[in-house]
Amino acid sequence: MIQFRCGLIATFFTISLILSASITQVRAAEYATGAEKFISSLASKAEVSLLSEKISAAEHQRRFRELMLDSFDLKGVGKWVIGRYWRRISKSERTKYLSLFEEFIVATYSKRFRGYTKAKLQINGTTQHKSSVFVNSQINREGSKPIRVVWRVKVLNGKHKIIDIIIEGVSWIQTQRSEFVSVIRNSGGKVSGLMKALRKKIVYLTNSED
Amino acid sequence: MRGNHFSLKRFMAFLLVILTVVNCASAPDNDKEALTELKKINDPIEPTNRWIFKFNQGIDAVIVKPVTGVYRGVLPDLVRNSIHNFLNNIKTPVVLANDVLQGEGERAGNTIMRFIINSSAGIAGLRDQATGWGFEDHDEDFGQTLAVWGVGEGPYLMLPIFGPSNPRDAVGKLIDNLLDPINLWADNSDKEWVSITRTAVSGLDKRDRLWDILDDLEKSSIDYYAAIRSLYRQRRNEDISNGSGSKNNKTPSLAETVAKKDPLKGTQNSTVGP
Repeated sequence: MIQFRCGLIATFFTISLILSASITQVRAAEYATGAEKFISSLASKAEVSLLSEKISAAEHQRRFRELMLDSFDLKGVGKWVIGRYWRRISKSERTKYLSLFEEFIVATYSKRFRGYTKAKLQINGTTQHKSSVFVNSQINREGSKPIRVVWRVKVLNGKHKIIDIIIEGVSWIQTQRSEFVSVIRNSGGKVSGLMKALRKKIVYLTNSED
Repeated sequence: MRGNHFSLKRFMAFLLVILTVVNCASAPDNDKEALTELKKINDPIEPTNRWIFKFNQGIDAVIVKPVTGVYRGVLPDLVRNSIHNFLNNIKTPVVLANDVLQGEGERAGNTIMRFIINSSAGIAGLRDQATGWGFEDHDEDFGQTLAVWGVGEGPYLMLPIFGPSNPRDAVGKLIDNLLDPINLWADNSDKEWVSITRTAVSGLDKRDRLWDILDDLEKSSIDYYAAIRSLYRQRRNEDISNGSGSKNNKTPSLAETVAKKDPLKGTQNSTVGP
């Protein structure tokens, strides 16, 4: 009798294990396709709102910021790129730094999506590593080699967010971090030195015409 | 006369030794985190490197960029592409040797096919017909071979004129030069002008291809030197892994590290350091 019960429990246990494993698998697959859909819908959103109509520079920047805030985990990236120095600054400094970081990103990248030559984003599947989904894609331009772009996506509070873009093997956050940390180090380990440099750059980028 | 070619190499080797020995930045006394950071940055002679970087930027502003500007202005895309293809094609022996040394049979076959196609249908290498026929271009050099053999990159090095490097890649460059049959032939038949011209035109071609990227990077970066350092390492890692399974895909996840309130822990240079 006991033996029978043990067998029953074992069977039950095994079945539930298999079930839960397959459920996890389904979830993982959903997770990956969700990320894929997220990137392709972002690409078409960007095309519609930033590239197709003729809009003023100010309106363009406003839309770019909106899209950026909606689809990137800017706060997380902002934290990560200053590494250990994040813990050394006060709450008010953190807020100031994060808003500067946002301005810096908008100033740097919004212009790149103006009058952009038509390029098509082609998605080539995903890979998963821990809780990140890497959406592999390539940007096809006429007459030149396609550019390999990997979007690193995560689900935060139920929403997909981009946490890194890896272009031809070069990680955006990695590069940003080595620059930011270098600036902080060269100003005696003070984040205020970085903030000063960011302010200067924002002014420069906003005033420069291209 | 054995030419500038060799004395330049000797000079570079000498410089390398000097640079690695002299001017090592001191590590911070007993801050463990700072020490790890310094190790990850892996640039012990940063002050010297920055100085050389500045020197290179000066050379670029005064000579290289203006000359490249003329090159871009005078020659149409088609001609510049042909020059690039031609240079690429005559580099075949070195690429092939490194394919073989890395045990990459398939890539070696690809390199041979490219050479055959481009030297014939590609009109002496001026056109890259092979890519169109499914034999895509790839680059290999002895620095990458050394990496595959397990040699670490060593500390970051900014070489005069040649730019970002490290001991491994600098030695690799030297070996590639020594292996190259065209250079060997030129050196042995008093035709140094051939290798000098080739080096100069290759430099021009490289600068031409980096024109937009460098302009963009210089404009948007807040520490151009650090940006170049990071880019160089990431690109090299990508080239060493032949573009597959770039280490950048294996960094610990962002949100996790953020959640631990320890953004630095084990992340930054898992992709960069040796």
